[in-house]
Amino acid sequence: MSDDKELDHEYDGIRESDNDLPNWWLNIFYVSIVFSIGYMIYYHWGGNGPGQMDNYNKVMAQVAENSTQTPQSYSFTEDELAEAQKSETQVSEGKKIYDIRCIACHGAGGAGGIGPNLVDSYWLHGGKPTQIANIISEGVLDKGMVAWKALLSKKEIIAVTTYVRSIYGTNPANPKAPQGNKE
Amino acid sequence: MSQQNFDSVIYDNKIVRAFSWATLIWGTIGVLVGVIIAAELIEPSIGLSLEWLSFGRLRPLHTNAVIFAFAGNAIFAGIYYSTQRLTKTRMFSDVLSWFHFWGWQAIILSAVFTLPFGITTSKEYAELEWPIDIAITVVWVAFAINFIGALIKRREKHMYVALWFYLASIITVAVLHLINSLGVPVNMFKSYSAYSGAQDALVQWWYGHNAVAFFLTTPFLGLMYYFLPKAADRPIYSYRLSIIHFWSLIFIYIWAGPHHLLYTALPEWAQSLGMVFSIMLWMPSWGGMINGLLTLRGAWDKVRQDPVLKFLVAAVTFYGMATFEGPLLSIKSVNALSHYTDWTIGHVHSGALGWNGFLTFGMLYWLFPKLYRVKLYKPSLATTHFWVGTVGILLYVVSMWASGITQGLMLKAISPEGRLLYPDFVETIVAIKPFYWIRLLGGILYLSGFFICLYNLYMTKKSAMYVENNEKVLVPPRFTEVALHEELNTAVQSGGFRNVTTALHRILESKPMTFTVLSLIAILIGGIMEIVPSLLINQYVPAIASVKPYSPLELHGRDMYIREGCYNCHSQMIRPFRDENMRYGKISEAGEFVYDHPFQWGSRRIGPDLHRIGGKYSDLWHFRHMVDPKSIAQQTVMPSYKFMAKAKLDDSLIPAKINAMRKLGVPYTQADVDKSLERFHEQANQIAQKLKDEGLNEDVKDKEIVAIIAYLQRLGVDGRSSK
Repeated sequence: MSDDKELDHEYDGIRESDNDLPNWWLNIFYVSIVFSIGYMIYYHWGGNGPGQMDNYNKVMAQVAENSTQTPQSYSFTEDELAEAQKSETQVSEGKKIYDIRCIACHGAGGAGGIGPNLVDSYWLHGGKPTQIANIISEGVLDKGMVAWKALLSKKEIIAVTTYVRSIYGTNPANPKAPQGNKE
Repeated sequence: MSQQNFDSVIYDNKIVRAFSWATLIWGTIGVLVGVIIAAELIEPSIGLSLEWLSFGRLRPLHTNAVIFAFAGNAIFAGIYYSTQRLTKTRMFSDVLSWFHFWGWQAIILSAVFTLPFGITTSKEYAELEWPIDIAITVVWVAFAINFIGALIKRREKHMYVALWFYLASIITVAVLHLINSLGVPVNMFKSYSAYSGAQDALVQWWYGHNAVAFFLTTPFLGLMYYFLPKAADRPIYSYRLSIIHFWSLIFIYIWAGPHHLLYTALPEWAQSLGMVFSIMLWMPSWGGMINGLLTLRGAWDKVRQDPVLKFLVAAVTFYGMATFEGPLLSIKSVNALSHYTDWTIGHVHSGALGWNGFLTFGMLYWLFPKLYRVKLYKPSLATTHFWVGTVGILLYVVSMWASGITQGLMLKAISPEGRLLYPDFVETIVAIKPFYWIRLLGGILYLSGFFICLYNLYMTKKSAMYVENNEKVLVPPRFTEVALHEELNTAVQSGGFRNVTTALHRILESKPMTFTVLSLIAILIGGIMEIVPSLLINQYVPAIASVKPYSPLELHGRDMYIREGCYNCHSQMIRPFRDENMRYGKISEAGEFVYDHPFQWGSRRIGPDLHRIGGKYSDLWHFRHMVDPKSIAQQTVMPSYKFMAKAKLDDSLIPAKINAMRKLGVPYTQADVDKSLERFHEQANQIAQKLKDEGLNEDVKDKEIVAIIAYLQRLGVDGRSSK
């Protein structure tokens, strides 16, 4: 840094020195300009740097190729669901998940609300255990039923299915009128 | 020298005092509203389910109050004080001074009486509706004439660097305001932006970013150049640095706006320009910090004693911090994480609370003793204020860093099985709530500082024996003009590139009109290069055939979405990332927004993105969610909009709205205008019937809620199947 040589400037008592610009300041400024020009050349002005959509498509293609990275649909067998139904802990695990995830639409104890009630023998999409598990997993997108496979593991969906089956025939408060076909 | 060689000039101190008090009062209110909305983000029921107390409506009041009322009045106080002394003349006209003062306060009041009532354009920091926009223009022109008039009749030959910054600020704010506010009115309280979708986004953030630049940065740099050397009694470190950083700053700043739109559907070349100009902006910004801090060389012992210098030094330091963080956040890969999170909120608050706030406090603590001709009531209280405020800022900023990075990482986290680790958006809100408490505490501390300041300055005023409105001073006679060719001759002969350039700039400093024109050119280049292509080239936004204009009811619902300020918490822009695709659906394309006057891309996700919300849930789900969000997601911080299920659906403006959109080029036919009311009610009846079918036992066909449901169910539907 140079010596403070004062200029003959004076404004309302404010004076000004004639110091040079700090070198580090100038150098970083120059580097930022050179970087910027290089960046624009590489990505836009003649270069072929990948754009944001190129990067996105590449990632999505990799995901599609790599099956462990692609969420698959779950498949449920009648046997595994029947086996799970026998377990009290499965049912109580299922109730815990139900009370967090499902209660907002299907009401406490399956009374129904935004979605249909889950306690009577009328079903919109089938009342067999595998049908229930599949609806939970895949959702009914047109009607606002979420595809829970994105959020829940297979084990959790089985647990919820056992809970839903366990409340069949109960009488929760404020039940919604039957919807769908009697089975 | 004998008395005859001096003229006497009378400075107007009354106007400076008026702006100073306005600064303090509005600043306190603005920060208080900030504390209230910070609390609402922890517990929305603080808003008492009253629509005009909800976060979405109060947040614009907070930002406008802090930017235009607090910082605005502070700038005017500082400019009116320093300009008179730097030009050695009174302002151009007392009438204009007072018109400026009362006009500005009236504009602020009109914001207080419109924004909480949902009268808003939804363009951030430009929310005020068109009649107020016109008032702003008139008052700003009065201010400009008053200021430039003072420059013209100045007695000091050269304009000091502070005046360059004031001048550039005044003309650039005028340009920004005029271009961004263009629109078509529906009635006195409602208008639609002239631009749509990606174009509107570009114009808005060109404005939004440069409101930060030319309202919160350049005028305050001008204030720093005056008040810092005055308070420290030290010469400015480098005259040359002030020249270089002034011109590079104003030229580069204007280009950086698109960094608010990185990874959006904005064409990428514009995004890249926004990014690289932000990086180039780093050093020009730091030029101001260096010139401020190095001016204090040899005066650091004073900083330990003097609260004024403490505030000024901290302000400049926060400025340096924020202007390093800005370029950092503008790097695309950083922005991929930080955008839509609290990191941005932390960033702007280190600027607003640290740089603007502390510089203002430093200035006021220095000014009041001068304005009232007494000592500051209690310097020790000012030091207390300094420490309380500093701790407040640090709590605020650090908690928002932590919150932003936490939420950003959670939203992006994907499990080895390829599932979102935190698929429920609300999980991320639960995770950052502790930081919201810390932020609230920081805000309360900063607000306490305001009260300490108010008390101290009020007591200072009270101790004044005599308040001088007009300060008479003796000044040397007006400078004598020298012919331009003679000046140029002398400059060229000064020898060496360094000396010649400085000498030439020295000449420019004595030509205010030329200076004005040159700075106007400097700021217009960036704006023209970025905005004009977006308006002229059709290919700018590739059309999508399946995208159709909104139905009358959907349009009305959209206006309710704007009215409630939903964009303050929800984006409508799914960026091209795997996690966003999994969470929200197909990524957004520019062509989907061509009928969106104004755009609603948002800037912060306190709730999930809504661009593909249409059809995702049933109508009844939306009904329940609007009326009682907690019944759907227990931990949500969304306020209840139950009034929408009670408020009558107002159809009085429907044909006028369709007509206004037609004027803007949205392809509605005359038949669409004529049949708009019929279609409006037809769709309202359909939705009400569907709600009944789904189990609702009230009839809401003439209630507002059907319009918002219609709009939400339409969002993103048209573009979902394209390509």
